[in-house]
Amino acid sequence: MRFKKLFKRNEFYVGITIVALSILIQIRSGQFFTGNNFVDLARAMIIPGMLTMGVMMQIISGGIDVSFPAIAMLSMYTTVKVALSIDFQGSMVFMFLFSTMLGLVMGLMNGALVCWLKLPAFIITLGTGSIFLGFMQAVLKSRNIGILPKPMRVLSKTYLLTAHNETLGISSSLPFVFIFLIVAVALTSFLLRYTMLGRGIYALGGDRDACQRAGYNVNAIQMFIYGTMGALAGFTGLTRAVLMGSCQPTSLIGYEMTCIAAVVLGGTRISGGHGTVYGTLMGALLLTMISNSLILLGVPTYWSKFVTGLLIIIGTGMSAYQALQQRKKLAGKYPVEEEKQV
Amino acid sequence: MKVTEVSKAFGGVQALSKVNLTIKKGEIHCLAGGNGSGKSTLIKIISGFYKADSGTIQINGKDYQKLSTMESIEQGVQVIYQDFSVFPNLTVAENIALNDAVASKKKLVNWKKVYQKAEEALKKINIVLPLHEKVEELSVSDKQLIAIARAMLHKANLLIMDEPTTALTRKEIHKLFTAIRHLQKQGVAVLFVSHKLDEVFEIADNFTILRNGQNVITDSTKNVDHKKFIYYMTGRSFDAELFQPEVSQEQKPLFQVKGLGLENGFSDISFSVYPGEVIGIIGLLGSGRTELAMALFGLYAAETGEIWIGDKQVTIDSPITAIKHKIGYVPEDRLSEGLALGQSIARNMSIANIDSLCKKGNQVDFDKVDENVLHWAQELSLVMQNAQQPAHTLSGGNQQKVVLAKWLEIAPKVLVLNGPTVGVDVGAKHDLHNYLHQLAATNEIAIIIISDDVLEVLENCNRIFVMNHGRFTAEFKNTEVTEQELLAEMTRQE
Amino acid sequence: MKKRLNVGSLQKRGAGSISSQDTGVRRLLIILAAVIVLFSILQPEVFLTKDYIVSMLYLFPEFGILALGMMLCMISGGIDLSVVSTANLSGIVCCSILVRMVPENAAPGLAVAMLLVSILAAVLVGVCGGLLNGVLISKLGIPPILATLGGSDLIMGIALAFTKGSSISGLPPILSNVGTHHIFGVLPVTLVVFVICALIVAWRLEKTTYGYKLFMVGSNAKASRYAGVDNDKIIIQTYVTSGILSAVAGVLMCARFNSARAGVGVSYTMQAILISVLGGTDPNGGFGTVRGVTVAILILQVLSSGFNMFPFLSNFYRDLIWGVVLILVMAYNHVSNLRKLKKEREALQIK
Repeated sequence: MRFKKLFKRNEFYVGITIVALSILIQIRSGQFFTGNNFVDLARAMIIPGMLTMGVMMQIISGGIDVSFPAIAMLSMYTTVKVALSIDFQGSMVFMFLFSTMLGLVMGLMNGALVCWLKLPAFIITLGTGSIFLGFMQAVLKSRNIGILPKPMRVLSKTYLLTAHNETLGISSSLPFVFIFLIVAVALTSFLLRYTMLGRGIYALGGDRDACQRAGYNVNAIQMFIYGTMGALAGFTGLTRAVLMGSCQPTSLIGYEMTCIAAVVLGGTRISGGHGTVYGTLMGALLLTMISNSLILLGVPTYWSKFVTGLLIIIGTGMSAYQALQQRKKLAGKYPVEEEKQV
Repeated sequence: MKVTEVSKAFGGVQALSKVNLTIKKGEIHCLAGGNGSGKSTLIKIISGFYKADSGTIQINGKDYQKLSTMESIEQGVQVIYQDFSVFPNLTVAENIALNDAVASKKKLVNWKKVYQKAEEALKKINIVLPLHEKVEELSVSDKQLIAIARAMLHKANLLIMDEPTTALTRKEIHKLFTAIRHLQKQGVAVLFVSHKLDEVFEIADNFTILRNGQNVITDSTKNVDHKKFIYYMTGRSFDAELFQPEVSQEQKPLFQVKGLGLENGFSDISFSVYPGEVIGIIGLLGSGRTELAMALFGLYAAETGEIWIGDKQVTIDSPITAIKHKIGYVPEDRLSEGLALGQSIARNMSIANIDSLCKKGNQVDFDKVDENVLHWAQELSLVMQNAQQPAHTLSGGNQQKVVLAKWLEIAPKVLVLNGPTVGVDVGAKHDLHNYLHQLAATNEIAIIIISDDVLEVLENCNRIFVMNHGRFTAEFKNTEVTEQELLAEMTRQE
Repeated sequence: MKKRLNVGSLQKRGAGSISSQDTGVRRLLIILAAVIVLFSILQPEVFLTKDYIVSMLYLFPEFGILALGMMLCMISGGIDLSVVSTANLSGIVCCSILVRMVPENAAPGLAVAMLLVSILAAVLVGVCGGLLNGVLISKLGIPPILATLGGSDLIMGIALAFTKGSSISGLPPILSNVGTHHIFGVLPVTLVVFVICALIVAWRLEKTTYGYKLFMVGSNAKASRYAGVDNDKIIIQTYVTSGILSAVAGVLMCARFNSARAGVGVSYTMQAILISVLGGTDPNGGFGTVRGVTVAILILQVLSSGFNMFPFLSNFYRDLIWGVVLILVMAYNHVSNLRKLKKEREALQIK
């Protein structure tokens, strides 16, 4: 019974694919199970891992947000720009706080519009995303900034550990900001599992009317979710600049689709109500592996897009098809078996 | 709790007008009334989901003009809705414990306590459910039990149950009643909405009957008998004219069903309809009547049995094939299944027949569409300003006329109507019934009314089949049966 | 009870349109007029020149055609995120056929024949892309956003793999000659293509049973199924049409750039969605007109061309303005809908 349920879960298949892919890569290149590859993967997971936490929460609640890359880029750019112009030398904490606040404000704008207009969040955030991006590129005239403020430069040179690869003679370092990913994952897990608000997010995605009847303030939950996504995006945007060692204001364009794909692959249903942190992490890991490690398999990188598309279709198609078949059959409207016993 | 002179209107339809209701502590009060009598609206006002247009609600001696959901819950009002309001994506335990936790304004979830509370609640109604299972995996009756357990967990002063027993077996109902009496002893008042007479008399102390949004009577169940109760509910002692067509049994049947069956839906259904007849199939929610109706229209493909139209056997496995064989279906839920509310009346009316309303190259012949729309609008005395109005601007009765016109448009040989007058006002109801009689008199169509409204079926169908737990359990001629007998047959539990 | 019934002419109003949509189009026309007047006053010596107007008419058909397909998908209650991928792959197929099959100094007859073949091949690619999306949505039940997102990656992946990420150039001049040709020196071929596409879509939508059913499917899929409409067929037809339109847009893009590459015009997806919504298409499905979308395209083209006249305003203002316009229009529609609903309720109560 338990196994049967396991076979129905996306996470299970994503897990198997990850394991199979790793073994395949190991056999072909012998470079997968090495310290530096793991460090590289962990490093590449930081940004998608953090962002997908927010995206997952939104999709669980039955919403969606495609403006977060724009929020992240705008917050990051503004923060860096402001810090440079005042020659900021203080603590990074303030910079992160500043960027997060910017993101929060933009996220709340999204939330307010979604609550008020009651139109598909996809379209609304498409519009706001266009505004944020346009604002950055047009009004702020954003361009790449090669030299970051000093506190950021210091942080981007701070590493947790370094792994050497003897055979290839290269080494990879795990940046300090990896801790942010751990914190984001831990906080999200805690929020979704152990707070009433988190359960409200699931409840909202499960049945909006029932959620309201249960006494939740549906609008407040939505404001929270979009606000959090904005704040998270602001924070992650700056993290990305630290990670890259430079400020590239357009580097996240198109990233929303990658994140949504990762979340959905991880078993989160786009219709809302279902989703797990570990599933989402696995989805993000799989996509990261495909874009990072496919080359180790000898597959040219330009196939990664194709593989991603195929995974999305297979991943969503399986559960969608099961649901469709289920709907065609009759659910037991009255307890037939019980009657026979009586 | 006391409700005084509460009124509420929806888009021009007066759902409630000056309704009163008083429930004392520890009382089990039954709220009864036919479809569209305003029961559900009243419940939603008491629970704060709707705001009353006028009137006051007094709970625990406190007056409210506009009661909010939160206030209602704080005052100990708990509602079990017909759709149970359960979260399909959460576990059984969480479904039971969530509402209570929200009401107590907790910030964190204590999972140990959630399971504890859920178990406690289930114990109260003496039922065992898998606490870790997600609710979407459970059957309908289990969902109902969850809803009941959830309400009982809360420190409720007033428990409102909207037809709580429809999906339960006799044994489960007994359990439920035991639990209700147990609560009554603790001083909890219960408002019990039901139209199963036996149950009302078994459990309720007092009752209130609503009809067309107005109070009819409030009395003790001891003072009335079954017959009188039905009289109050329907508003007339039964002497209305019965539909009696001239049917010659020598003719061949127009429509026949032989041994139709569908797993989890119904089994061994056989009947035939002769020219000029209107037959009725009556059963409670969950009796399989809706599944049968849907199978006749191909929305579910029946697994066993045969369907004959005239002397030809046909296969009906989708609405498309059903329409090809000239079967029309007026669905149960007009709003979600019958109409595209945002689209125009004309489009809604002509959509089923649009393939035969075109010129070459699949071009829609709008002249013909216009002509037909006008024809049906006059034929059914449809009240509208313009056929381009969106369907949602119409009243319930007129909307139903549009749905009916959609099927008349295909010149059907078989017309299946599932709950054709739910939420339809009296005037339009009369129009619709009259029209069906006229239609039957053409002797060219088989009409099947599927309903839980005893009176409707009795008045309009010359033969009536009673459906119970997926089977036909009895067949009557409308001249030879009384409402009480039909009701008894419908609600019989074995 | 006997009341004179006014059925209203269905023909004049067009199928599926209700009067509020006409007011929507009127509103858009006013905006368009205002924008034109504004730029004419600000920069008459640039804006009102023949060249400038012709360049506007030459540019907008590319994303305008994509927006038409997007509108159809939105009317069905879905969305098509794969328009640009399909356009790219179609363009690549078209160009590689031309590169391979048309030798240098080819006879004009051969070049034209090959051009037709390559366009046909591009359209075939569009049909396949649309078929993929339509089947995933209707037969497998994948939500449109995800199905077309996956489909988009898949199609783009094929395009990338096929070209190995590089661009196809060295085209014979025929494609660019035809695609950038201005009939009588003023009428761009692209505009003609757009008008043909728009007319066909409008005809399909408002005059044929396909359109008649499409509105029902988008408005209430369950009710349309219950009325015997073959929802799956309608959905598949819709996405195939969108695919074909994408292919046409893809070929036009190739003609303009005189090359083909995967990833060209990625921002067109968002623009197509914006235009579609701006043009009064209901993202929840059930409503939309070619008129509205056409006017919306013109507004946006005039806006972005207008901004180009001011050297100190970068191209990026376009994104900003479009976003603002979209949000404002949605907000305005929301408010006016609320008011209309209230009025309707009151009218009913009086009766």
